[in-house]
Amino acid sequence: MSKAFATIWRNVRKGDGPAAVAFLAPSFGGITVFFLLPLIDTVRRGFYDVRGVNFIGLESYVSVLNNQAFRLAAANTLKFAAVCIPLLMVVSLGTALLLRSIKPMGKFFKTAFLLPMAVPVASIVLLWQALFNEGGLANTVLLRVGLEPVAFMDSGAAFWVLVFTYLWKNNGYNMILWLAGLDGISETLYEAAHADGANALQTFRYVTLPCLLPTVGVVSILSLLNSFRVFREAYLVAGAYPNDSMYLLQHLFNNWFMNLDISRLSAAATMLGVALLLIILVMRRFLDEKD
Amino acid sequence: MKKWFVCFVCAAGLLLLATACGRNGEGGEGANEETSRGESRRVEAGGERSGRYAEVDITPPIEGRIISMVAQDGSLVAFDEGLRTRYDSGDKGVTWTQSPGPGANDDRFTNVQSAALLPDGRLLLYLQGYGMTKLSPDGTTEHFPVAEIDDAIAEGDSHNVSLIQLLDDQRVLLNYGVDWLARFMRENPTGMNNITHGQGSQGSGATGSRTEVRTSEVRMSGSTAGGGISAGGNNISLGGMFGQTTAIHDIATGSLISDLETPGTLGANNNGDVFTLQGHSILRHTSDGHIDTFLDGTAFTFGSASGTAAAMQEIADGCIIVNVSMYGQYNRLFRYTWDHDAHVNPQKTISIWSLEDNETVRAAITEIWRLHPDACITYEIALSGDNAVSVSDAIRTLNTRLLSGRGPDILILDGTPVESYANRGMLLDLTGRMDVSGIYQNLLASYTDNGRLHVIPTQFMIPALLGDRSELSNVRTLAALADSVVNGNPAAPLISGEGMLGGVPKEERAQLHFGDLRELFDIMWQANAPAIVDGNRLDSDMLRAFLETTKAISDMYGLTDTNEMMAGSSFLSFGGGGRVNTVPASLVTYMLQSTNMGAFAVTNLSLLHTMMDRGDGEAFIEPFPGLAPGVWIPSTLAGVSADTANPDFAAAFIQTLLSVQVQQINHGLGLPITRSGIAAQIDLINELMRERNMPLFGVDLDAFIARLNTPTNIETTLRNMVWETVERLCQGRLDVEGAVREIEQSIRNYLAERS
Repeated sequence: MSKAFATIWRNVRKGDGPAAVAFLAPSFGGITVFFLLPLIDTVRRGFYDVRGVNFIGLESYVSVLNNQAFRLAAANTLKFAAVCIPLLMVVSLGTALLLRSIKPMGKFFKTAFLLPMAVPVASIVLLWQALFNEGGLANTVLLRVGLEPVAFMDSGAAFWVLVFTYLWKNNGYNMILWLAGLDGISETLYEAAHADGANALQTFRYVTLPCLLPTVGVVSILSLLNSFRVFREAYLVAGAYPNDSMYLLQHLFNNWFMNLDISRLSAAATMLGVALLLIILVMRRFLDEKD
Repeated sequence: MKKWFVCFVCAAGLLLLATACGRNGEGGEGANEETSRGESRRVEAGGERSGRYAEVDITPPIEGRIISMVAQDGSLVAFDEGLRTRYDSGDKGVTWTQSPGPGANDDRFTNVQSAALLPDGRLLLYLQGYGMTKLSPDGTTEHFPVAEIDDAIAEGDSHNVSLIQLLDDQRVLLNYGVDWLARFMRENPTGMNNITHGQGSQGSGATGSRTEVRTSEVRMSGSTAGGGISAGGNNISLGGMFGQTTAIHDIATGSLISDLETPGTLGANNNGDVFTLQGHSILRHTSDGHIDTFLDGTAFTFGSASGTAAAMQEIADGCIIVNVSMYGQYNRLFRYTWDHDAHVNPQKTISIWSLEDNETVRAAITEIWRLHPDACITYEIALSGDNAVSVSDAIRTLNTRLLSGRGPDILILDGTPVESYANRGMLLDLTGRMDVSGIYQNLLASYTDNGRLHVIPTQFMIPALLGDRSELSNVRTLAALADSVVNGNPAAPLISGEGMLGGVPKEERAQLHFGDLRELFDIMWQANAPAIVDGNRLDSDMLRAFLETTKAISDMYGLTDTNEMMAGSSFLSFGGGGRVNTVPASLVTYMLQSTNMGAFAVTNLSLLHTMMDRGDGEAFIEPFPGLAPGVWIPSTLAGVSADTANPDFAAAFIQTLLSVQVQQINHGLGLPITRSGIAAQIDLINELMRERNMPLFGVDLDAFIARLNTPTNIETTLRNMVWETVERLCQGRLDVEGAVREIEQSIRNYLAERS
């Protein structure tokens, strides 16, 4: 961020200032109106009562931290991110490597893996209900092979249904990011490794992975942010009050808004924002060091 | 510089676009908004506008029914019941002159509902059993042949002619129908049991088809002009007009000129427009097929709960004359004139929001507009039926508007998380702003919080059990009710050997009956919810007891079977005071003497009075035996937004909701919450009973209401969560312990969010 500002300032001093400002103004205006001002208002509301009139200090923050629903939702969200993000990164990287190795059909498979992104959420929900309902396809298969049916949406299995949804939906997108990263690695490095007698695993460990580190940062941050978008599917499949294992922060935020509990909602959202920012900063610091 | 300019223009355009998008979003997503004016014009926030329809009562000095018409010269003519006296007005109803009518010395015209004044001075009217008739001033009659009506008379079918209106000197508009039930009985003598016992026929009473539920065969199709159930003594009977026809006939020959597809026609004008009544509004059907709202009745007498437009005609200068039937007992004539100079007082401009259409609110709008003609009231109905907005969508939109300070002034909170609005300072404290002394104080006490009053229930219901004293004395607790049902007879045999209305011998009667599982669940949940969820605590033992009893009753009566014996049992309607109410199957079977008790939520005193005597002994009423004592159901909960610009007028509106003029009418949403409202409704019932020489209202309601102290939880989210599990429990997909665990789990987060 500071680099960007330094560049702008340098251009201003060089005399390109008005043009730079004019080019930046639309985006900056949009970001201010649609992002910065609501963000400031959200932070402010966390310290005020519901009507935004009376200052109540840290009352909402204390209430949020003591709230059992918040604790459950935060724990579930953290667990979901902790399980999903590494899993998605591994699976999508594997998919990308696989795609590069099957060049004749690469384009076809690339499109096929991207298709879930194009499917509307409502359609996915219908599909999921057909698959995971009490008498759905998954249970029919389980019964056919002699296993007990599973209450996918009313038990701990709901969490894994959500994980599967997230992987299925985001794998294609992450795969594209990995492919871009892989394309950026110079062929000469692979040729040198090959000349030195490195096998495929060693080439991956000592050439591919180190070169992919900048991509890891981008992919992990985007995966983290995308993990918050799985709420749409969870909400449409299981409603505002799903099984405990599927109860995420977004469910809580949605329900608090329905109940007009804006102060606690704002406080919780602020805390979540700060936590995300810290995680991203730590990740960047870690990746910068590796760089 | 060029680059700079282009970018500036782009940025400005982007921001303008964003602003425009924001403005489009105002007013609430999907909300159906109606202004309470004659025209569908909107008031700009804080501004004034002029022009509106003004309603003027021009009723001639007639106490009972009025037959009104417009003569060819534009003057108004009216007759009293029986055409005994004629009233003429050449000044649009300001003054009337009186003269003897053709029925002054002739009793043949007592049942005349409508008539038209022909160019030759004769009246065209309908005479029961004789057909359409031209009546001379001297009393001589001439038959006017209308084939459809004459055929009905020849076949012996009951029929009715509800509207006769002269269009010009050659054509007359007629609205007539034949009693569907009589025809159906004649054509299908074996099908009657099905209809009478509620499993055979369904109909809305307004339009649509009547369908045999068992076979899905449409028995008769077309529009319905009226219908209902009447009960008294040992009988319960159905009646209804079917196949209502609106047609234009030749005055000279009586032959059909054209058949209009506009059932329930109120009248027509010289332009060929036809007017019909749709809900509270008069619609205009133009000859090119276009339909629009001609006059929104929300603010007028014909749109109120007490009045229904019976006929309308346009006269000179765009004035409209509407003949309004009041309570179905007498008529009033109103003139509607566009008043260009009428102004709206910005301090009397309020908006009202409710999740669903509410008749009581509409009645209050009519009343307050009568008191404050310079008021402008906007009524928004979030779930209008013609959009895909869900309850959660509607509440989310409302919350967004409230938080941005652009919310409605008055909130009708039925179906919403009421406590959230009250506890978070979004509603105005109404203490001292209005007089609430007329409300039953034991009911109001539940809504008073440290002397503050944010929400006022304006109506209420009581979950109750009806039966003879010995039966009721044995079921004072939920456990006793379960025992009584389980040890009693299985599902009520609805048809006995004695015929369709003969009842079932007492020893064969079941204790209770429910149309389906939902009917049982609703009454059980209403009566037990306060004990199961108390504040933010779930009582698992109470929940278990509730589930066990619900399951026992459901199993006993096979309520989860897709049993056609149960289907459609609650379609019967009861006209009580103002609007039509649905009678639950439990009461219908009780009335038919098929069960020993009836379980229902008391919403209608007329219905309650009728049910107190089914012919085999006096009935008694007790609160439904639930886990919490004295449970009642609040209805039409009103609150004023803390951000309202007109708090005094908003409070005045809620005061109007509590006025005797609004409370005395049964709007189908509950009992009046004021003592004066209850007294007025009982007075109306007793007046009618005295006229008919029947027993007066005998329930000591004050004593009954005094026992109520616990408002039930009316939050739909919680109820729906429990319902889903109860349905699975009763279907046998869960055992009671599994259901308890499931509800505990699903409600845990709901309650935790609120702690």
